[in-house]
Amino acid sequence: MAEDVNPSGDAGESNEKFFHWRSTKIPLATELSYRYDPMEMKEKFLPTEKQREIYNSLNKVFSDDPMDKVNKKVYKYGGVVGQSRTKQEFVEWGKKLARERGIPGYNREVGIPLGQRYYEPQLISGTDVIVDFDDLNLYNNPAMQQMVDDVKRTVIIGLDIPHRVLQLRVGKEITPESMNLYMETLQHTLGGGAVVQEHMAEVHPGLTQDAYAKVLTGDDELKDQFDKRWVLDVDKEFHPERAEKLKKGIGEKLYVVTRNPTLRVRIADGGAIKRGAAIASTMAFVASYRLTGEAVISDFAYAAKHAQQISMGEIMWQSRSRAENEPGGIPYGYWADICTAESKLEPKPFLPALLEDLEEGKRQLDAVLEAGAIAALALENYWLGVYMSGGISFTSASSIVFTGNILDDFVYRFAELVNTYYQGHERLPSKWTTGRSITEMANQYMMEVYEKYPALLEYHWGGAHRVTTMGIIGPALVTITTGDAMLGSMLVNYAIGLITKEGWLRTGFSGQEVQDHIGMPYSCSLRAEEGGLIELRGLNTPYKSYTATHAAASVVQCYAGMMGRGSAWCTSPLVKAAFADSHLVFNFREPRKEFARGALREFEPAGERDLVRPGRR
Amino acid sequence: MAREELGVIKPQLEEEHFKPKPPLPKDWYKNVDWINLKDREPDLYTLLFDFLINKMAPCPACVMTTAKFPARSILIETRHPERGIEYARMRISPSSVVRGAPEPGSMIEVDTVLRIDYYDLVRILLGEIDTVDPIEDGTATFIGNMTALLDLKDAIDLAIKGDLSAKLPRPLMWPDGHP
Amino acid sequence: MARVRKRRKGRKVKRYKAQLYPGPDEVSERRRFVMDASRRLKKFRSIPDDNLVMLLGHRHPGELYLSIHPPLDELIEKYDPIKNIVEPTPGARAGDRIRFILFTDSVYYPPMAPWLRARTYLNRFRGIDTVVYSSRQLLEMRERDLEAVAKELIESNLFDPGRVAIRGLTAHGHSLRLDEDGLIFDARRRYKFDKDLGEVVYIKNAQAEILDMPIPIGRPLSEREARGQDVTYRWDVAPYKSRTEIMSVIARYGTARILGGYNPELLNEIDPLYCEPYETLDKMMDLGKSKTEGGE
Repeated sequence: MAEDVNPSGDAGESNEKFFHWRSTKIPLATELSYRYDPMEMKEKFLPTEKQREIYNSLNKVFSDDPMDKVNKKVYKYGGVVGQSRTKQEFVEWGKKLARERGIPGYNREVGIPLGQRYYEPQLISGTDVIVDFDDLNLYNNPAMQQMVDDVKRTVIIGLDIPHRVLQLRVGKEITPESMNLYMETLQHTLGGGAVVQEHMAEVHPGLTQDAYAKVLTGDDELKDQFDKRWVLDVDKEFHPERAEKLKKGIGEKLYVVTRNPTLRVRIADGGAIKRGAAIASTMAFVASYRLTGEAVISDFAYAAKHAQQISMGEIMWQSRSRAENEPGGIPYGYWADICTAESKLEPKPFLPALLEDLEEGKRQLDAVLEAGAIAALALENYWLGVYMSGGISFTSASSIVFTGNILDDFVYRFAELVNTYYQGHERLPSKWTTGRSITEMANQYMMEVYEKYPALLEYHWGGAHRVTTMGIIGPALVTITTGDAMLGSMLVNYAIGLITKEGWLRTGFSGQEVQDHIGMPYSCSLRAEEGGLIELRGLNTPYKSYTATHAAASVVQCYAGMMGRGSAWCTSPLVKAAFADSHLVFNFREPRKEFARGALREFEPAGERDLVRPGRR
Repeated sequence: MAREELGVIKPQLEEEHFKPKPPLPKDWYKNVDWINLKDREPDLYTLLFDFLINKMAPCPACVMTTAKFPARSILIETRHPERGIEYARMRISPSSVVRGAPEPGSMIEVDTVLRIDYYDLVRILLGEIDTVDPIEDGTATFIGNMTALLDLKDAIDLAIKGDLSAKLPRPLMWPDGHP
Repeated sequence: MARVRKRRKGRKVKRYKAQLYPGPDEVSERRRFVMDASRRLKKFRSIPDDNLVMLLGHRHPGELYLSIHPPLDELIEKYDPIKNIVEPTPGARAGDRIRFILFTDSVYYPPMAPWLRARTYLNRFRGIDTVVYSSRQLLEMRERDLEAVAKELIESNLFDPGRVAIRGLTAHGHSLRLDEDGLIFDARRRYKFDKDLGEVVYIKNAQAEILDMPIPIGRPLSEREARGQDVTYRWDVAPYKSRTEIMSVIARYGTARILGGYNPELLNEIDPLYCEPYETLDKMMDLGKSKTEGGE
């Protein structure tokens, strides 16, 4: 069948003449006389690739040359059970279950045979820890669960209004002694101890050993009036300059950061935490100030419970219907504040810091990736993967953000580029054209890396993985150099829905198809967005549509904007300070290391019921 | 909360970049030794051509280095207050200058389109500012292959300074010779 | 159309010609070629009808088509002018079930890719539904229409037995490394490379049910041939970075989307070349004026 000549138009005919000829070389339509075959030039630059982190880590993970397009061993790996120690454990447990309870459970014989291809182990970025893929599943990793639990069980309560009501309406005197007595009582009530009634069943304190409260203030004199045991000392937890900025931001007000026991999150939900914090605080006031049952107590109850209470998350709209403090209702800006990876770094804007010292710049970029790890885990994996989809979590969609040193390599290469060519600049102008060209550059580069490393394509085996990477890195580089999170969020959809899509003609998975279009609910639009700041939005913003792999990018934009401006916090100094607390079970400074500890089964979570199990008295 | 935490929108160092630069002298081209015809201000093509013939071609360091690059074609679009928009294509490896933009339907596609103010380009070629500065200041834009732009920057830097020390080492992501 | 030409003797009727895709390079041209319904696909191989039916696995060869409603001609329906304007496809006229074919395209020099499939299907075929995934593309049609279209697709240059696979379920594997024969990974092992025949042979149908006899489907393209058919931009086929025309077009889309989001009139203020508002450009011109002494 001969090819039909385009009947309409001259341009079509000239196309025919020019294009459909075959030769030994592939013609490239740059300047006609300037064609070249990139395959013939690869010797010039491919050796350089072997110096990169990405090459080394892929080599380590795949124990093979990552630049080889053909895997001769595929189908001959002998199944997943032979490849993974965790799966062997699962199979043994499956048999044990079937024997002991009579109903079969886990059974590797049903469904598709796994492990026909290489079941690669996971290298946690920024560490040397290599773990099994199954260890990064949310259900198997207590550190991941504890991270979200720690966020959910935190409520910040302002003490200024209750103190005022106590003074003016109830006529009580507020003294350092009374405030310390209140704090001591609060530690008791938060853990489930009774203070008011004389005949009460209480909670075993061993079960709620992670419940505590700490005062937080920006005023050093006020801070000194409290017992050091329950002071959240900003000076200790942050770089001195950051601490100064934070204290200035918090001001002379007095707050108490309450942590409900993890067990409460496990029994109930975020809404119960909000009320738990409120009642524990009120009871502590009642007991420590000896309040009586007069009419004013109702006014006081409101002041102590709700007037100045700051929940981490808002209540969600009907179809998603969750109470406060659940991951879906937490704004992006709060998630950016929850990550405190930058707490010990100097608060210097990214570009000057990088141009002065490349390593300092890389540390800042590392912090951005730590925020990405928190966001991907909490939003993609926890919220969308468990709450919204009802599945067993989107393990691979979130783990690609913090495994394999892939994103690290991308941002480090960019840091080197900036360090070479951007000397003499302090902040790039936050103009669309500037941002667009940087995103294009970064995305074209990342696509090229994927093409050069077939092992990387196999590692990020789904379109959703690559889309996550593209959506996070390119725009984040714009945000961190311009300090403008809005510009970055405009570019997220541009990077995915236009640059990646037109280059490869493929984007994410089917549920995500909608967001790979340039459409109103998915991409940013100036007229709508100039009123809806990205920091204050979240997954429950009604005019936005979110599916997995797009949410983490927004948090990363907020965090990168903060680093780009050299700010000490993104949205709230209180939230930033609250999550730099060294008494938290999960360390929000090094989430990737914590995930690794969880995968290695070295992480000790809270909220366990071991104390009340048989024979554990 | 304290409003200063939003950061400074235009840092002091950056203000220097945004400030209007002192104007070029009216007859600036008469004092430039590499411009051949000094009877009038050169148009874009003449400017680039003269730079190629009198600065790039005689510079051994420039010729040796650009020979390592893949073939490049960069469309430069300048705006001049009187002559308006002008186009010329700068080709590297082998080097040449072509007048005008590719004709529609000619099936020619350039590697990069660089849109820049005429006098910014003059300043670049005179060595007063860096090639990438106008892009980073947001006064010039580019679409396409940034590696080609870096090749152009290297060629210009080498031609102006004349020795190999003018060339910045390429970052690991795009070594010399990367398409 | 013929009648119109007759009436206007000697005058050429200028037909609207869709600008299917930007870019003067060969990959763009391949994209235009497959999307352009007026250009016939090239026939690369031939597959007997019965083999195709077995491969799809929706019915047995020779079996009657199952129908979900009586033929349209026998149906008495309410008057609807659209039904007079749109001619039903043969499958719709007969009341066939809706069935599907699903292709998985490898990332290594594929002759088709998911988003291009969607655009091609919508341009070339009637009565379809399609969904874009990252690796695969569903095409849903009435059964007999589907068989005709599937035959056309598989026999044409849009199919490479090595790098495109026909799958009904377990469709992943597009971005995995190729196997030792250069075939795309398939967790269901539906096909293998027959070294004696030199062709890819399907031993299971699209739904991964074992076939009574293996179905040869053609020779896989060599890497060099596949590079000549690739519709995606790769660093070793055509570097995506240097595609300034496509980049300009998408920059225009992006700019228009961001700046003109809820106010389409703003689009008139954007320079299509610069992708920036005219106002900014005018300011740039003003800046330029003061750049030489006495330039005013």
